[in-house]
Amino acid sequence: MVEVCLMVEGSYPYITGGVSSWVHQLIVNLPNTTFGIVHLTSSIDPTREIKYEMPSNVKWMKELALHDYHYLKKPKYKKSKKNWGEDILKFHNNLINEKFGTLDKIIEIFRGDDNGRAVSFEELIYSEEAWNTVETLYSEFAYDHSYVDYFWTWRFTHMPLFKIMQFEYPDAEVYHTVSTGYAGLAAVVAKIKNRRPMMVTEHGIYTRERKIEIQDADWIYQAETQIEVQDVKEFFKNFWIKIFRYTGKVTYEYADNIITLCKFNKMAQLSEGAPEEKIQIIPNGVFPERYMKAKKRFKKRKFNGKYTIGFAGRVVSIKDVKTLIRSIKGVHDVMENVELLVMGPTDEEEEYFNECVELVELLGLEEVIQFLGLVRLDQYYDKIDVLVLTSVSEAQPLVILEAHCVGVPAVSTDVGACRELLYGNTQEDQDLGKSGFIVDVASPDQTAEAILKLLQDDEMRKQFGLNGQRRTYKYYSQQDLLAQYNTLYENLKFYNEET
Amino acid sequence: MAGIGFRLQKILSENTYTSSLKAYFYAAAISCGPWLFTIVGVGTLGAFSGDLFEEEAHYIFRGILVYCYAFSLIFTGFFQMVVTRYLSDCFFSEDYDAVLPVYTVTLLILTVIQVATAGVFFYFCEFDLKTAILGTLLYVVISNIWLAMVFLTALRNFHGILISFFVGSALSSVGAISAGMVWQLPGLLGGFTLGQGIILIMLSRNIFSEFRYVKSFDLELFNYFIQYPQLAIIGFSYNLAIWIDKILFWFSHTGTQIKDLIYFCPIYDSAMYIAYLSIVPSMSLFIIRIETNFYDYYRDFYGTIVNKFPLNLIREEKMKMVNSLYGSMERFFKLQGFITLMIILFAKIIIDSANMLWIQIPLLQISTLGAFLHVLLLILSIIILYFDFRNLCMILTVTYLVTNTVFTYISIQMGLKFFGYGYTLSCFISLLVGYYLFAKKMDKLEYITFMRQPIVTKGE
Repeated sequence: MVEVCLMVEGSYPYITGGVSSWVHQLIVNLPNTTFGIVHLTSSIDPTREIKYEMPSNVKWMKELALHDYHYLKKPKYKKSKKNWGEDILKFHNNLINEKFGTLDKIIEIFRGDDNGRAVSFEELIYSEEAWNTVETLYSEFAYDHSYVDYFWTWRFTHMPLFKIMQFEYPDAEVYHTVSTGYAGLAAVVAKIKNRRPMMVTEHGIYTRERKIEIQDADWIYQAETQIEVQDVKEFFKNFWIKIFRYTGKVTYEYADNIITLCKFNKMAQLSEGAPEEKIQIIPNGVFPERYMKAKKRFKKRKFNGKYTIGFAGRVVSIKDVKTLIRSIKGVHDVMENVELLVMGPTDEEEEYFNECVELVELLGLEEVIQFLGLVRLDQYYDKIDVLVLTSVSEAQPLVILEAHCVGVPAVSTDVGACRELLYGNTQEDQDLGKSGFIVDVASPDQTAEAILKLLQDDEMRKQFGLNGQRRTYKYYSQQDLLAQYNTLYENLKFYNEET
Repeated sequence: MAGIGFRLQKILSENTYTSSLKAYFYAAAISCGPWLFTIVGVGTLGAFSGDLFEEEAHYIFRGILVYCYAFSLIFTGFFQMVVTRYLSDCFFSEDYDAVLPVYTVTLLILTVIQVATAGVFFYFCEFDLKTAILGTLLYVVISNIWLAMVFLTALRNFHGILISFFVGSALSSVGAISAGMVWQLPGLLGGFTLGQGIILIMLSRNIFSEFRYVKSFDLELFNYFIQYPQLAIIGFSYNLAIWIDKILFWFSHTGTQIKDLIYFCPIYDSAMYIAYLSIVPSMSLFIIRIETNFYDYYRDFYGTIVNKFPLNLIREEKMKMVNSLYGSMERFFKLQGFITLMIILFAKIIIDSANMLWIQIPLLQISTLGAFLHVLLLILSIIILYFDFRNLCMILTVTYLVTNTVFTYISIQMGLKFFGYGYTLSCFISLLVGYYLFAKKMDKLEYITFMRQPIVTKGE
C-alpha cells in the first residue's frame, strides 16, 4: 500500500502545465514517501505520451476515463432488487438543502454493500428505476423545460459521476486530490470506501473555471443533425454548473484538509462553502537555485537599444493574449524600440492562436511580436526587461516568481494571488516593496501604461526586480513549502492510526 | 489550471428519434396487397375455367399458379421488410442514388434463389420441359413483382402499381385464355406469364425512371440483414404463416393430388379465399385512416420530443395518439364487424351462389371470423412496426406461424367439423399475445423512446 494516492484530473503526467509540474515537484521532493496516481481523463488517447520522468517513489498509476462508454446497442444488465431510486432522490434533496455530507449514505448503491451486489452502470443509465428517478427530479426542478435537453444533460452530467463512484481505488494511507470537481469526488469516494483520510490542494478554483467555460459554451450537449439546434437555454448551462458546484461542495465537506495557494483563493473557497477551519494556505514556490545562471547573465546584461517584454504561458483564451497584443500596440505607439516575446505552446487552442496572429497582423506588429512556442524559460528570463500577465483567471502564477528570481519585475492583471506576489502579503512582506504593477483584467490601456512606466524608469525597474527577488527567496522557496506537505501527510496518517 | 478537456461536442450522441419514424406503413401495404392480388387473380381465372380447356390442364395450371403465388411470397418475405427498412433509411438520408443498385442486386439474388427453388421442385416432378421452364419463369417473374412492389410502395407510387397491374392482369387473363385454347397447359402458362412479365417490366420502368443510375452493384443491404435480422424473420414468418394452414390442408388426407407434388384442397381453399375477400373494403379504409389520422398524431408525438417540449406535453401528445389509434380501431371494428356478421348470417346464400358445397357453410363462417381477427393482427403488427418494436413484431409473427401450424394440424386431425377453427384460434391467440405485449410497451413508450437511446461517444 502506498502512503499517498494523488488524484489528478487531465494533467500529470500527460499534459504539462502548472499543476503537473507542481505534482512532479511534490513527488520528487518527498523521496521517502510512496505515491500512487489516479489520473482522471476524458477518454484514453492511445497516442499521448508521458511527459515527465516518473520518480521511483511512484508505485503505480491508474486511469479513469470519464467519457469512454462501451457502445451498447441493447443494454443488458441484471436488475438489482433494491429500490435505489428513493435513496438517490433523498440524496438530491439533501444537496438542495445544503447538506453535502450524505454521499456515504448512497455510496452502497454504486459500490454494493458488504453482502449485496451493486447497481450496475447500465442499470443506472438505462433502467426504469433510473427513468422514474430522472422523471421525479425533472418534475421537481425542471418542470416546463425541454425534456429532451434535460434528459441528455442528465446523461452526460451523471455518467462521469457514476463512473467515479464505481471505480476501484487502490488502498492508500492518504488520498490527496489536486483539484475539486471530478478528481475531488474520486477522492471522496476513495475515502468513504477505504475509510482513509483525504485532503485537497486547490491551485485554482475549479468550480469558477468550469463556470467560465460553460458560460462561454454555445453547446451543452450538441444536438445531432436531425434535431434543429436551438439556442442553449441558460437552464441547462446552470445544470452543468450546479454539478460542478455540488461536487466541489461535497469535496470540501469530506476533506480533512483543504490547501489553497493564496488568500484570494481562500476567499473563493469560503464563498463556495469550504469550512474555514480546514483551510490552510501553502503557496506555490520556485527553486531559486535553478535560476542562478540566468540571474548572473541578467546582471551582466547590457542595454542593446531595445526593450524586451516577455509573456510566459500557453497561448489560450484564459490567458487573454489578445489584450496583451493590444497593450503592446499602445506601448509601441509611444516607444518604437520594444519587442514582445510570447513564450509558450501555441497548439493547445489553435483557433485562438490563429486569431492572435491575425490580430498581430491587423495591428501591424509583425516586427514587434514573436511567438517562440515552447521554450526553456530559464534561458529567456534574463533576456526580458519586464514580464506581463494578462490572464482572466490565475491561481498563483509561478512565472512571476521565476522572473523575480532572475530580477525581472512584472505587470499582471488582478487575478488570483498576483497582487500578493507583486505587492506583498503580510505587512512584513509588503515592507519589501513592490515588484511590479497590478492592472485590471482586459484593459490594454492600463497594461500599456504600466509597462511604459517600468520601461521608461530604469531605476524603478531595477529596484522592483530586486524587491521581487527578495520576496521570492524569503517566502516562496518551493523546498520549504513542499516540506509542509510532509507534515500534513504525517498528521493524516496519524489520524489513520487513531481511527 | 489544467483540467479535463471539458468539451462535450465530442460526446455527440446519435439519438435519432426521427430516424425511427420509419415508413413501415409501406411494408404493410405490400404484405396485404400481394395476398389479395393472389386471391383475386386465382379467382378470376377460376371463373373462366368453363369448358375452354382440358380439365387436367386447367387444374394443373391453377395448381402451379397457387404454388407460384404462395412460395414466391414466402421466399421474398425474407427481403420484404429488410429492403423496406433500407429504402426508408435511404430516403431519410436523401441518398437516392443508393436505391437502384439495391434493386438490381436483390433482383439478381432473388432470381438466382427462385430459379434454384423452382429447379428443385420441378426436378422431383414429372412435368415436360416446356411446362417446367414456363412454370419456373412464372415463379421468378411473380417473385420479382413482389420485390418491385416493395420499391414502388416505398415510393408511394400507388398509381404506377395500379396501372401496371391493371394492364398486366388484363393481358395475363386474355393471354392465358387465348393461348390456352390453342396449346392447353403450356399456352395457359405462357399467356399468363406474358402478362405478369409486362407487370414486372412496367413496375421496373417506374423504378428506373425515379432514380439516377450511378452504379450497378451495392452490397450495403446485406449489412441490414445483420443489423435487423428480426425484419427478415418477420417478413418470412408472416408470409409463411398465412400460407401454412393451406399447405397443411393440401398435404393432409383431405387434400387432393393434382399431379406429382401439386396438391390442393378445394373445400378449404375456396372458403378461405372468400373469407379473405370479406376484409378488403374495411382493410383499405383502415389503411387510409392510419395514413392520415394516426400518422399525424404519431408525428406530433415525436415532434414534441424533438422540438424540446416538456414531459407533460409529450405525455399529452402520446395520449392523443393512443386515443386516435383506439378510435380507428373502433371504427374498423364496427365496419368489419358488420360485414363479417353479414357473411356469417348469409353464408348459405354465398355458398349456393358460388356453387360450393353445403359442408363448407360452417367453414366459411368460422374462417370469416378468423379473417376478421387476422386483419386486426395485421393492423397491430403495422402499428408495432411504426414504433420500431422489431422484437415484439417478431414475437407476434412467430407466434402466429407456430400457432397456425399447430392448431391447423390438430383441426385437420379432428375432422371436417373443426376445419377453419385452427386458423381462427391461431389468429385469436396471436392477437391476444400481441395486444397484451403492445399495450405494455405503449404504457412505457416515453421510457423506451428516451432510455433505450444508446450512448455513443464520437472520437476526436
